[in-house]
Amino acid sequence: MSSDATNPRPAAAPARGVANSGQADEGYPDDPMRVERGSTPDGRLLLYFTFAHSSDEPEGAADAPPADQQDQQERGR
Amino acid sequence: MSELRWNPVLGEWVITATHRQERTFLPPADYCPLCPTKPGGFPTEIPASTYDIVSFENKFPAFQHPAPEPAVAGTELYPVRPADGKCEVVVYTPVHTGTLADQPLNRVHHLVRVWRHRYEHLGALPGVEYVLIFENKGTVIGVTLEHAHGQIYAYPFIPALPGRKLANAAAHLQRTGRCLFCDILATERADGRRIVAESDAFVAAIPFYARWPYEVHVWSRRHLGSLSELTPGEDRELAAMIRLIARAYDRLPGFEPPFPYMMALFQRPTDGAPHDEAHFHVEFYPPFRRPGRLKYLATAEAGGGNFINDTLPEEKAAELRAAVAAAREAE
Repeated sequence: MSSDATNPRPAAAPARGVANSGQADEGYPDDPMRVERGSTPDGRLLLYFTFAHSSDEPEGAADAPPADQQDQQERGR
Repeated sequence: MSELRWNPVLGEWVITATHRQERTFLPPADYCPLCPTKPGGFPTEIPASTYDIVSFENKFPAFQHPAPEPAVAGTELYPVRPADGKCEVVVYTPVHTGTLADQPLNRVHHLVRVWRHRYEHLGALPGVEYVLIFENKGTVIGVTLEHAHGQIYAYPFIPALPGRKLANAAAHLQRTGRCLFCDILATERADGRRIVAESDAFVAAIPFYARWPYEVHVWSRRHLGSLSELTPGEDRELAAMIRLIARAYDRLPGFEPPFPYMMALFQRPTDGAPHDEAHFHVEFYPPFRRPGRLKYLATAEAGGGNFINDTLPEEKAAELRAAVAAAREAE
């Protein structure tokens, strides 16, 4: 195994940064997945996965616009 | 200390990982290492005040990269090699309480997408030959943290049981020209007595050959090898099917929820070979044989190797079908 994009950041670098989501998540233009790199307090790799649609939204709402678009629509009213 | 020791009698690797003895054991909720880190509070594994879904490298891994050199020298009879690989923890939700069964469908769907991401990224690492995504649920299984989470092992070899399954599937493919799992799926659907639930893309059943009383297998109807080949609609269906089975378990009469299980996703190995014989499926192994009674692996199973199932899959599937109906009614 070689060093690669999934190797941990140094222990002193807990800041989060955008990581490559790669080819793994095509097909969701309305609900893209964002992957951010971070680290545990002792420096192990930690990945934060977030989505445009809330993971806790009511069922059947998956086809609604993403939360940020809803905000824009509401602000535009 | 962590290393691979070859068992020449069974022809398989044993992972020694003595540091795992020290892992955190059922901490109180205020000290859960999988919760977000609250301002001024206990520093958890996740230094953020909230999150959606996270994965991180296991603090007590069976495999790690770079792996330490084996503490013992290998011999011709007893080869050893570094336990080089990755072990990750996937935390499903920032909320301490609840299980996968309790999560909204969108969250489980997002989890499936995270699983796919990790399968593809970990499987692409040089030396990783197999990615096993799994969940242990319930203290009777040996879970040491109650916060809803699963794990991923990126193996430097194809583990023993998936290896046996693939070998049998390859032999079936060579003999008949057909996929073993497609044939099993067709046979189970034609019989119908052991079917638990169906959707457009997936079928769940307690198979004819089940070893555990409430053992459920979920097969993709299409012959595909991994999460990577699912369409967006199919992976949402997979999320729904996995959650449905977990919810049905929680509604089995006489059992106190949450119902414990072991769950594993079986996918195409990542060793570079085509593995046309691989067929994506999920297997659940609940440890209960009846309310209040665990099925232990005693001498006949641990020593003899063949399971003794005290129940009929046809009867247990009927129980689970009723529980599936109750779970669907409650949705």
